[in-house]
Amino acid sequence: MFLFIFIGMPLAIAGILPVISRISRKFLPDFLANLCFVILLAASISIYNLWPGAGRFSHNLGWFGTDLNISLVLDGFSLLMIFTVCIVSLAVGLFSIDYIERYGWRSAYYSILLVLVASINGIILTSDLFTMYVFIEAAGLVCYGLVAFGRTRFAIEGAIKYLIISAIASVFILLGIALIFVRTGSTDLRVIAAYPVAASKVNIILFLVGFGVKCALVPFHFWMPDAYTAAPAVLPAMSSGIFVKAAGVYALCRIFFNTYGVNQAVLSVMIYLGIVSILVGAFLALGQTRLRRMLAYSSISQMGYIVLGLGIGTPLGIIGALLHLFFHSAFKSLLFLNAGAVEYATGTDESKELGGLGGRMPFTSTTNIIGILSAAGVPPLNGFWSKLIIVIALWQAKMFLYAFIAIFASVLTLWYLLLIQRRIFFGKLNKLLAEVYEVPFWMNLSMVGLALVCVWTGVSFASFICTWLLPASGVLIDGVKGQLFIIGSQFL
Amino acid sequence: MTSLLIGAVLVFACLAVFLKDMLKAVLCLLISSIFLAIIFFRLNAPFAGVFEISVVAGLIMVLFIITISIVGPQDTVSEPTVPIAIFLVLFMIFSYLVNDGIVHLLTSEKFLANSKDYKRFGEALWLGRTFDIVGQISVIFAGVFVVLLVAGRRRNGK
Amino acid sequence: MVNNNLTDCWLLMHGAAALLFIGFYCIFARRNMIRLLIGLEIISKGICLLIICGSFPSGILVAQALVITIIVIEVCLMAVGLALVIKAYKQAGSIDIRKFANLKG
Repeated sequence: MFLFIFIGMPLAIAGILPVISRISRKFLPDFLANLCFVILLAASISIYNLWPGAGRFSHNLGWFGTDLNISLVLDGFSLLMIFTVCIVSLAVGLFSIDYIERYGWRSAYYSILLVLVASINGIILTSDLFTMYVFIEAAGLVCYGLVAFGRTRFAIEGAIKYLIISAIASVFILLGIALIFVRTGSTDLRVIAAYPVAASKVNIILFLVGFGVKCALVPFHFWMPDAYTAAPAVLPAMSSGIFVKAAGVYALCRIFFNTYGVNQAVLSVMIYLGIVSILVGAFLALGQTRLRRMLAYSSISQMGYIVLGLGIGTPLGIIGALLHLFFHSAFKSLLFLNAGAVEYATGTDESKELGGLGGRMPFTSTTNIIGILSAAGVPPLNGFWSKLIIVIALWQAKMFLYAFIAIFASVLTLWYLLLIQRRIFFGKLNKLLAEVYEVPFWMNLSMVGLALVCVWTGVSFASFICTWLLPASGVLIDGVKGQLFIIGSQFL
Repeated sequence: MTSLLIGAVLVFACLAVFLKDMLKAVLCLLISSIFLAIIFFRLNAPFAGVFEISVVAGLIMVLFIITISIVGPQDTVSEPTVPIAIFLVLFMIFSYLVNDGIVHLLTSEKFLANSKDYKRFGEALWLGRTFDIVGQISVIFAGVFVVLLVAGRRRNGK
Repeated sequence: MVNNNLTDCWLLMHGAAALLFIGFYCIFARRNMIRLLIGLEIISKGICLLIICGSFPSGILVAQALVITIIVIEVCLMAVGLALVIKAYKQAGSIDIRKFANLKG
């Protein structure tokens, strides 16, 4: 039962929020949603203490004695992803207490935010490929709605573009699942692993293209800049922080590492896609003047780092990639929430119209500096360690050219991020912005919280690797062989 | 008989793509759904057939017809003038290329990895795919709230 | 489906592949936004037909459960897509996809 609260509690609260909002329009939805996120974060930390330590364990639910046949699977990698989801969703939940005031309809917003968190937890905790597809669709529907939240023409355009591209990708994934089901008669990942016929070339191409669109690898990245610029700031934080990773990287890892087994051709393709994403994202981010668009291209670049690290295949590469996955969630969500705070205070995020905000908005600019230094990979913040490990893994695997490209792109990242930060936060204060003051308390709290996570994981990265990362990477390195402990059914 | 049914499905799907008037296109898609449901019935899949008729040929087509009545017949949207011959040629090439894969799919060994033998459809849905039902609940919640947010009237804010 | 099992299955699989082709052609070669959604619907029909005729006669019960879930997802996707199309029409006056490709990728 314990694992099911990650999916069941957000769904239940999302269901009763429309009723509750009749009673209290403002306080109760905020309180309930954020309480839910706090409970989920506490649950994910306490699972770590209850956990046997290694291996996967699967949990069959029961309802008063009869077996319900919902089997939730947890292993080190899932635990890392759940922890990431909980941290980012709590930060976004706190941020949106004040941010959503401008948009209106608070209870419906919190409902879909909770459905999004429930669906992403569902993607992570399930062991069945088709159930993963269902939850990816559910989370995708929420993201289309969040992009169109502002209901301006720009937002609807971004949403339609995102919907069409993402729906085509979902169709590719579904076609792959259908082919697997027709050949093997089951869609459970643990069962498919025994049949090599499930890993045919057509399936591999379909899954690479489908999940590649979901995690915005180049050449499938076209939806990301427009969707992220048009949406309220909470969408890029949730989407690039967790949804892109859960529906893209996590699903790719589960299929290609744990089910199909490591295939050298697929790993080479992942390395090429990663390198191209890093370069294209970094170069396209150089010319941007709008803060959010530049951060979207930077996200594409950082996803390239993660896929590159996974494609190397060595244990060090996988550790670097998973470390970068977690750290990127922390600092990129922080940067997107900063952009949202700037927009909340001034009404725009076009850097030509802004300047000199550092004095008026101290919290935002300080956390922005921490976020940018993390993203660029400056020691001792967290981005440095993950990029260092990926570069060392590339060096050890004798891919010297790719190591140089990775370092070069990191320098480029530092350059364009510092450039836009200097334009927005330092320099002369624009006359029109003299009335600007700092954002309200809850938005500050969430940004400071994420900045503290960046600093703490950067300073104590060694212990972080030992506690959270080694089990996660162990799962991927073990690959197809992994023990499975079954915990019997319990009373609900 | 099967070739007639599947031919009807394909012909009406092609009509749905190529007809200029949106309402007639959607009606052709509806007729295509009905023929597909008949194929499902013949394949001993009555529940899928019922769902196909009531949901796809019912609910989705009603949604399309509501949208078309709001938007208008839209015959001013100019489609690219690609002759239908190109479509047929591409279709022939595609069928030829896919033939090998289909023959391989049909003649290769069928694995029966699903060892549980369900007697009734109810067991297969509620006991075999219970987690999918939780997923469906999420999808339905997501759809309902998103449509409310996109198309509804705001009470406060903008 | 009493006799000619293999020929019928071969025909139906070709039909499913043909539906997939028609659906993809519709998405990539048509400009009306409602037609893009019709194309997605046709592709889903093709995949449902593939699942059901591929698992005939042994796994037909689980296949029906999968198809029912796919149909539910399609309904919600169409609802969201059509709501966005209506909103786009109210704002721009047209449902031509070229008018909505202003944002640079």
